[in-house]
Amino acid sequence: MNDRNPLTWENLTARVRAVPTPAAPEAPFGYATGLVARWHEQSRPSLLGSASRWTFRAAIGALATACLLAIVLPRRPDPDAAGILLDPPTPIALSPTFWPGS
Amino acid sequence: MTRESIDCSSPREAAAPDPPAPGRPDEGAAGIDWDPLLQRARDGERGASQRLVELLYPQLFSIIQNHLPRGADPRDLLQEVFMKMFAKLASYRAEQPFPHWVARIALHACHDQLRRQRARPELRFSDLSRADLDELGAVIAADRALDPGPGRDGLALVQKLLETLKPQERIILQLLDLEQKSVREACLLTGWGESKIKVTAMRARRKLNTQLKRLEGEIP
Repeated sequence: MNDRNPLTWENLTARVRAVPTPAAPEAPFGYATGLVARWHEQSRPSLLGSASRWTFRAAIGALATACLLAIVLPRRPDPDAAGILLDPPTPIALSPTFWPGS
Repeated sequence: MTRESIDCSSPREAAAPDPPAPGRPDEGAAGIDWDPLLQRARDGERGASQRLVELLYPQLFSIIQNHLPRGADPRDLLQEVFMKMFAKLASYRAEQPFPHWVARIALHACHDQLRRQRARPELRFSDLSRADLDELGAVIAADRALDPGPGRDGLALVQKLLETLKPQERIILQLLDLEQKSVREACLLTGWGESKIKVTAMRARRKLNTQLKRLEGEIP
């Protein structure tokens, strides 16, 4: 076994690297023209696409407004508290004798 | 994205004046002033975009062909890479040479493609062809007089071995061991860190050597 090289990845790739690499091909005729035309076609914003984008933005805006209003607007007042406005305190209740210890 | 193939049937008649060398973006960039060309392409000038495609085609074709599995058609992925390049062109900041930037897009596209495919299980003796066995025999032959020279069949065997690795390991070994790029170049091309590349390469080589040792034991 002494006259054998070890079978390793390094020994294998050393042989493969010695093989000349074939030159890479150039772009086929018309390839660049076709590809760029396709890119321009693809990147052009379509009417339907922009309409759906605006619809989506409007929906998001409405939702955000609703959330904001729900936070900012005061909560519904307690119905029991309305009585104090309709029936103000009587003079008896306001007199110092009404409150013991005052 | 549509994956229709561009017609590649007829050879291109007008050769590009400065075609980049295959797989070496730094060599291909020599002598080309990319900035004005890029600016014109960003402004939507079709001629400049076409020129970019013509200049980058050999380099990107070579990268994709080297990193895709054997037998896979690189043209679909090549078209995808060009489309990504145009889509991201506005974000290119000239922090690195333009061919490196495009090569990184191509390598990441290859990585994504490899991730979608299942890795081959370990290479077994029964998977080896006659040519593979001859190649292995040539590697272990100590007598140089019997050595048939550079292993043309070795590339198929190397590819079979690479297919047993994870996509990232595969790309790194392809760059370092077959294309003989430095770790620094591999960092630039992939965007991965230096230590990650070194550690991944070391683990991948260890895996392959384990497989080769097992195969060596089975060779009569």
